[in-house]
Amino acid sequence: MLRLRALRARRGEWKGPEVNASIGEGSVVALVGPNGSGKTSTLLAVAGLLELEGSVEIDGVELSSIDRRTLRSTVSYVPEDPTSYVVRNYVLDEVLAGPEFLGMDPGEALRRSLEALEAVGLRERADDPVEHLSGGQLQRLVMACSLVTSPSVLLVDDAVSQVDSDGRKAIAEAIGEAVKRGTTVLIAVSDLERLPLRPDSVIELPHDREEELRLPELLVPRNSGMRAFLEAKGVRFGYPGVGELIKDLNLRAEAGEVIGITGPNGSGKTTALKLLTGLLRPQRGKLLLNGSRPSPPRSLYMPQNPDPILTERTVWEELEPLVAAKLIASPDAELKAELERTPISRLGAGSRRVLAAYLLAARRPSVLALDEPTAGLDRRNSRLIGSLVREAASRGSVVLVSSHDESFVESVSDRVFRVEGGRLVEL
Amino acid sequence: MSSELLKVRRSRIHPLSASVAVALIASSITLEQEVLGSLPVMATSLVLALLTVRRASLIAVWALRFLPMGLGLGAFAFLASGGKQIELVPLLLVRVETMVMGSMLLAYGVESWELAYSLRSLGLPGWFSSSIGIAHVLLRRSLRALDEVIAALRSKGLIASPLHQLTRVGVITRALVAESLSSAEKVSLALEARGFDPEEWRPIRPVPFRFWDLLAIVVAASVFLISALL
Repeated sequence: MLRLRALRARRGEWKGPEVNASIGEGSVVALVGPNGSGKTSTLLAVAGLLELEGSVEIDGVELSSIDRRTLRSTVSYVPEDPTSYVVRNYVLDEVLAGPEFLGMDPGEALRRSLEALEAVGLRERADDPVEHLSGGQLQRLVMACSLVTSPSVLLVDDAVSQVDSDGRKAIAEAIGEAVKRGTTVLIAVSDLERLPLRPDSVIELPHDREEELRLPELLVPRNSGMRAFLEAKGVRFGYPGVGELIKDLNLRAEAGEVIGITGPNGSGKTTALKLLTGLLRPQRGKLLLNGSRPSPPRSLYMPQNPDPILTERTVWEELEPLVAAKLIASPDAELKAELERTPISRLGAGSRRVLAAYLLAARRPSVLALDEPTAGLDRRNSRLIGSLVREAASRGSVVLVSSHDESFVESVSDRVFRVEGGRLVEL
Repeated sequence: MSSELLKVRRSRIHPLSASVAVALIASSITLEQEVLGSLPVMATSLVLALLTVRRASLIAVWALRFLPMGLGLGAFAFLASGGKQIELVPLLLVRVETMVMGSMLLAYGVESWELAYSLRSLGLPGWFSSSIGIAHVLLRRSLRALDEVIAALRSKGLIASPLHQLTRVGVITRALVAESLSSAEKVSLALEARGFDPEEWRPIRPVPFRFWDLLAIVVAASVFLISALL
């Protein structure tokens, strides 16, 4: 039984929304709210990883009275960004870490770890380096890490945003099994449709208006007759120790086209995007953008974790060079002041993703590739990304969008491809 | 079947062997005061790196990335000598590159937590052993993040070409430090969420020694003795 009374997470002076709930053993409750509404902070506070006001009781015991080791074996937290959770270099070692830290018997720890990997469909990858896993596979791994200690309370933070349909099914089944054993599940999500399983009840969080990021309009510079033409023929690529992942990549795309790329976790979508933007060099085959090899700044790639793109302190510092280059409209005094006092570090994950996509789209690349651009985004931010994609295409870019969000891909793309057996197959 | 999985060693070279070998290489290259004498030490460092990491391209990339640092230090030493000792430029360049290649053993040949396990097995305190292991995790992350940071900076037009990287070390370093600090914060939260307590922590499996681990120490020790005696 998990009881939250007037719970408000705290980060410095910021306070999250008040949450009251009483969640029974073996229940699934969805915590629903848009980006920036305080879902992650609330979960972290319930896990005892963030300061809080109010109270959290687990099986009638106040959170602050539970000793640390008991708390950690009782409550598991699954973060939205799996890369932030990984502390080891191999798949099995990663799952073993939790039981090891809690002092579990090695044999028992190994048995449970293998079972947890089996449950999320990663048993065959046990001996692989973690860096060989795709974003979706990492999310499955992190779920295994959270289930391995058989927690009484499982806190899931929108942790299936990059998982393919098979993975979602496996994760839903694994959580379902835990629920049958009496685990209480609190699962945060920005959109109820994205939930991997049906909740018993829903807690809705209000929208924090301050979180909404307003950005100046993109401009069309003079002489904007950009005519991009991207062509890939028989492109092959493999990573050392992994083997050939891309076996015969063929694609012709012209200015103004939006190409959607889907496929299961680990199929090579990210690798395909990196090849098509010149971040990886093909080992065989031909890859040309307007007759020469694609490379930045003509072809730009937004990674699944867009944070490295945001290198400045404030939003205005990021935008200033674009205003100076007349790539975006000059904001009015009020908006400029707002952007100047908005540090990047204060932006939520959703706003950071939107800002990163905006910064790249504004530069008018010939090819713009967005990798899982809507992962963890609410509907408003997803629509913003969709508008950016269409706008970039209308300004003459070839836009490549890789995502597990099939409805998003279908809604923005002119053509949709699926990565199958190292090839792009048009759907 | 399964208990065998706990005996699998992830490190290509035993973490303790790697640590000793790197320490010996560092000592040898510091002892050498002439470029010619330094070259055999650099060659040994390169051979050990090639045998351990098995990726010549990776070693070449890192050697290239540290080229400006070696040249810069050399130029500084040359100027500090009043412009009299030009030989300091190649000497410091060779020293830096030798250390880069030697560090490959630790950076790419050793699994982070096996390094921590090995130190713990020597009787060192849990907080110390785990700190070294976690620092190694962060180092590996930073090495991976570097490529992401460079790609991001190229996307923003702050780096025009791969060669341009060599002259934009400051910009890259600033972005990398920011990314590394953020990564450190995340790792700290991940460890806390999983109940990690450095005082209570006990390794779950052993890290066995192999013949080649010993050989690496013997080779590095021989180079050190030769450097010390000649």
